[in-house]
Amino acid sequence: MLLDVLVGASLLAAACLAAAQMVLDTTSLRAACAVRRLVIESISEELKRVEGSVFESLRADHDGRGFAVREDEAGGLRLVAPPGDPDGLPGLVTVTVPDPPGNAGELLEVTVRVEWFDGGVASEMVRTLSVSRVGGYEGSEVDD
Amino acid sequence: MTRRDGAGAGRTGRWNRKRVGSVVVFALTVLTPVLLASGTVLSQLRAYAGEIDHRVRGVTTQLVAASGAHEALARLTTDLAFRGTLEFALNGGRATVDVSQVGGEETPDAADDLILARSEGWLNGPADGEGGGPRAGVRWYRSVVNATARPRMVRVPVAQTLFLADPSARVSLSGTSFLIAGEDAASDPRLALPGIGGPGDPAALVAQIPTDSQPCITGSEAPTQASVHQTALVDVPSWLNRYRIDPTFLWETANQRLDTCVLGTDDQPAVAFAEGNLHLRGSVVGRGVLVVRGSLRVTGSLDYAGVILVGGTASFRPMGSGRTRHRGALLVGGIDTLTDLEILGDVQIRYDSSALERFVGQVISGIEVIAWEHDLEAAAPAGGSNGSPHP
Repeated sequence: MLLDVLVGASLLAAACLAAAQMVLDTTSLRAACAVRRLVIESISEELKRVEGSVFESLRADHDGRGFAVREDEAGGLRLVAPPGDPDGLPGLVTVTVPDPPGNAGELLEVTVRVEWFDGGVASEMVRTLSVSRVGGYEGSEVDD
Repeated sequence: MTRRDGAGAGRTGRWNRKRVGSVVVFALTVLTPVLLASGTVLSQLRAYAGEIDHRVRGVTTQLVAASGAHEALARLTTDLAFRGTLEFALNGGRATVDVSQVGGEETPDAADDLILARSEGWLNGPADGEGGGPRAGVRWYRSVVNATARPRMVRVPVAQTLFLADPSARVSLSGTSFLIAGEDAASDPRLALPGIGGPGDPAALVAQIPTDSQPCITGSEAPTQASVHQTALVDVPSWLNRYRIDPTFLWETANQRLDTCVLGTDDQPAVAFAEGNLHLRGSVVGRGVLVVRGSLRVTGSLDYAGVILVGGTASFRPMGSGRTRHRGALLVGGIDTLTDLEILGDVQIRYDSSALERFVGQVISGIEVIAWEHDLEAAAPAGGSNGSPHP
């Protein structure tokens, strides 16, 4: 009888541990997905914002500008910049003049970088968009 | 005994089998729901991760396609005649941009051209130099931007009769026989403009003009006797370059002298361009745009209607019976170390909106986008691929 109980309890304990581990893993993976989604949406929004700016003042307004990466709702996800980040914000916009053509009055290259620190690991995502003085970029809509 | 022992062993075996069976049933009862739940969670999570991955790659491809279109438009801005294909890599993807003419005549006159910049952005797309679609079995992403553009037509900005681009311009205006008038000389006059305008301090400019000469500068009301106002900066060198593209008359010598000649008529206004300095010492009549990259010196007679653009300094000192009659506008770039404007004698420079409208017209200044269509998640191109499309 004791043997039966021991075997049953062991199986139950093993199942519980496996389930708990799976819950932890899936929670962690889900959180990682949520972070990745937040990062790409933030980058997309920042690029739309930059492109919607007046071209002539684009560098002055955005080059070197940091930005927070967080969900809109209260208590939502919020990314933390790696230790030592100058402005303490995980997002950074950089505007450079591509060469060629090397003409700041016609074409600029906007790079949006998000660097975040999570669980002792630093991660980053970087996307670049060329912006001309005359063009216009229509941002995408999310197909949820 | 043996039989009894055998019987006892048989009962014990059956009990053991029953126990094992019970344990197995118990274990299956507990583990099956756990496995089912785990499978469901994993399946959902896999779908969620796939959706995020799709979104990240989709946005990346859109950025690649948009960047390609921007690159082509920037190229067209500086080289309106460009037609062909551009390729470049960005964000781990590749854009191929085809610039072609879709409207207007195949003539050097580009004013009526309609240009299409079609940018295909790919992630995991066709390998370099390959046509068609992506490789088989590859999960690919494609986004297409069609940007339609046409030449941007602009007019010389005229906010005053005489514009001095140098904020610290030096002028020499002498006597009372000259006139710089901001009142519109057209038969249907518009509001008066400043006689003289520029980005510099008007007071500093007026201080250089003798008191008795100041009433000779008329136009919109100013705190001083002379109608001198601060006006928006005009990029004179850029305007010089715009008219350099296709002038009617072109002098490329360092110092060009003109005696009696006609530079455009009422019916056929002309663009006359001097790369160096221009000296008008005879009797010159003209309609249209007179452009001097160097300095302009008028010692003869000048009868002109339209716009006079001078990159360097401008001097009007008619000699003998010579006189200057100019209707339209005069823009002077100036030279830091020299007197930007010098007027002495019978010189009349009047704002005339009808002359500007009739003789100056428009010039091409880069391009403007009239349509920007972005297919965010484009399907495979026609005749396309056997690759695996994005979900």
